[in-house]
Amino acid sequence: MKKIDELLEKYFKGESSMEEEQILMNLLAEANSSDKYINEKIMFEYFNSEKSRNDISDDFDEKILKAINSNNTIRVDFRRKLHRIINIAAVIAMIIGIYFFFPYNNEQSAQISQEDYKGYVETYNALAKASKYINQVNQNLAKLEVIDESLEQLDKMSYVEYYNNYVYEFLGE
Amino acid sequence: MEIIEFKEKALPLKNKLFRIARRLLNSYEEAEDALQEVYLKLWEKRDSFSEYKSIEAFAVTMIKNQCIDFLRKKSRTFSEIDEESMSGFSINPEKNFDNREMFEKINNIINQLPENQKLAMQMRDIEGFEIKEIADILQTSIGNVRVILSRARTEVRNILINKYKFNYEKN
Repeated sequence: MKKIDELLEKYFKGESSMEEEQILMNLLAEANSSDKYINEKIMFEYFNSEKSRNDISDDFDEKILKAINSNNTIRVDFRRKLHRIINIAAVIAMIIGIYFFFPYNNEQSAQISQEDYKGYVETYNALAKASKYINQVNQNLAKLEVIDESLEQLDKMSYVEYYNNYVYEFLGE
Repeated sequence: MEIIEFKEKALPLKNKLFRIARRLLNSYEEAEDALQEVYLKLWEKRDSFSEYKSIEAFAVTMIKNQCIDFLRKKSRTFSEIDEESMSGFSINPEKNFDNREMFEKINNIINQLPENQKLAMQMRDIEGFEIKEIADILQTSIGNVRVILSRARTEVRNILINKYKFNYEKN
């Protein structure tokens, strides 16, 4: 009893270690329900019962995994949109380039000075490089998209577990 | 971190996180909502898990913050013991009392404690966290955690003793 009193004093001062609290719990479990430690005994019994309380809904994991998968889909959608925007921007840049710099008739062509023609060639080359760069970015984005799609397919593997559970439930196991 | 690793490391913490959330929010539905929010945040931060000493401590800190934010938004206060919620509390030592009823009473007493006391008590006495881990999560000193725990435990016992004696003498 002296041991219980010492441990209880430390416990209520917040000074007990995990090991001492475990010993205290064991000693109180052996104590009689009608003795002076009744309140402490019931407190520790309550703590113990709470430790094993797992009453979260059964479909919680499924909800979380679905929400995570939909987040991934949003990311993939964003990449697809970005891909499309870059494609459109590249086409517009090329059209603008052609409209402003391509000599569209012979008469105008004849009037172009040597300096203008040099400027035109430089601009054309710059736009050609820009176009090449955009195409490279597009190719890389296309690779990322393939990876994302593959990961998405892999994520779907997690549902196999749930379907298995349903099958087990159906079979009554 | 990919989804398989996330399932292995983060999802097994759900029951512990849920119990803490329910202790703070005192509501099954709100605790589950808070837990879902925290899991989505954990997924978003999965690449920074390695920066933390323990995913568990990181997740508990997140659920604590999520619940406290939620409570502040709802402007709830639990700083005082609500005597009304204790009504119907009675034990007769001569009868073989029902533990479930007593557990419900203790549950109510703890739920009425100030936030930091009930959180410290939940983490130590139920979830088995080390004092240092609780100090990190509550962002306070080890000495202060011991004081908080001492107050919480003593308060729970005092309420049990006072009510117990009252009913014992009455009977």
